[in-house]
Amino acid sequence: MVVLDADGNVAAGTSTNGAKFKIPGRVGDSPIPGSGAYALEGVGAAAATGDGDIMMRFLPSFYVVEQLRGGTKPFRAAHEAMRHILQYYPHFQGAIVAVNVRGVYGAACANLNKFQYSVGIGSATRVETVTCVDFRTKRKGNGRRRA
Amino acid sequence: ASLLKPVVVNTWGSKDFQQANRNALGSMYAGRLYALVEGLSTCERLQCDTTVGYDGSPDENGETTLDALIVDGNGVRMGAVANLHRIKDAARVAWAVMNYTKHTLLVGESATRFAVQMGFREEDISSNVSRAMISDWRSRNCQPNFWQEIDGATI
Repeated sequence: MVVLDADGNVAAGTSTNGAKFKIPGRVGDSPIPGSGAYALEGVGAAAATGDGDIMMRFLPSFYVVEQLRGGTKPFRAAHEAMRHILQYYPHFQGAIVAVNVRGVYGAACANLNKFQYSVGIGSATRVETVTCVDFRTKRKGNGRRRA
Repeated sequence: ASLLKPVVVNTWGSKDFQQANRNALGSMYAGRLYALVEGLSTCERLQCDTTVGYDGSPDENGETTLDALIVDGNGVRMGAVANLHRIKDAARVAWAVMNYTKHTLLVGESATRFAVQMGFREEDISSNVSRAMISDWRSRNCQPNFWQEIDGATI
């Protein structure tokens, strides 16, 4: 989950019970800073979900926030993070959501067909859907929105 | 006056995840971290998609263990717990790590002891659903699992 308050401050977090039938002691990406979630003052925040064993090798939330720091829009940064993992693990399943400090948000997914995520702005919550990244084709679409 | 409306975005869109979003949004008046933790805790309480909170995703021993992380952009402050046993409130324990220690990540049984020290209740969090899942899994010859190339392996 990523949060932007009315003063333009960001926070992000995760909570999970992990993978079914994991080997005892296994820890996924969720509690790993930069993997499960990340937030940077004046920049934005991101949070990821999916196959944590793969995701934590790429620190996708950190990767997204670093792109936001360079001015990339959340939708595109999220797509690039998924594409980056898919380059090495083409069957990876997961998704990521991001928001920048201007209230622009976006999401991307990999191998889930479609990905639904919850968006709350002001006082209303709705569900939005993205079609997953196909890393073999050029990026398309535009998920930019303002709060 | 601020220029922004608060924004909360969370992964997944089923009813429980939407409820988590609403609860976070509705708690923004108390601060972004309170809102974030409230949102995450909502899913722990509702066991969102059985992937968050108690009594789901058993490990090979049939036990549910929890992972959680809280990050504040301001000062890049963090707290996290991993492989937390017998405590339902993983997100709140992670928040306690952020607020009451200089560490970032506490794990396993030691994280449980920290949580108890902080006043969280220790209880069995792997009951009916987990037990049914693990006995079904054992009857399927432990499939699926996360082992590989184990036949005849020597260390």
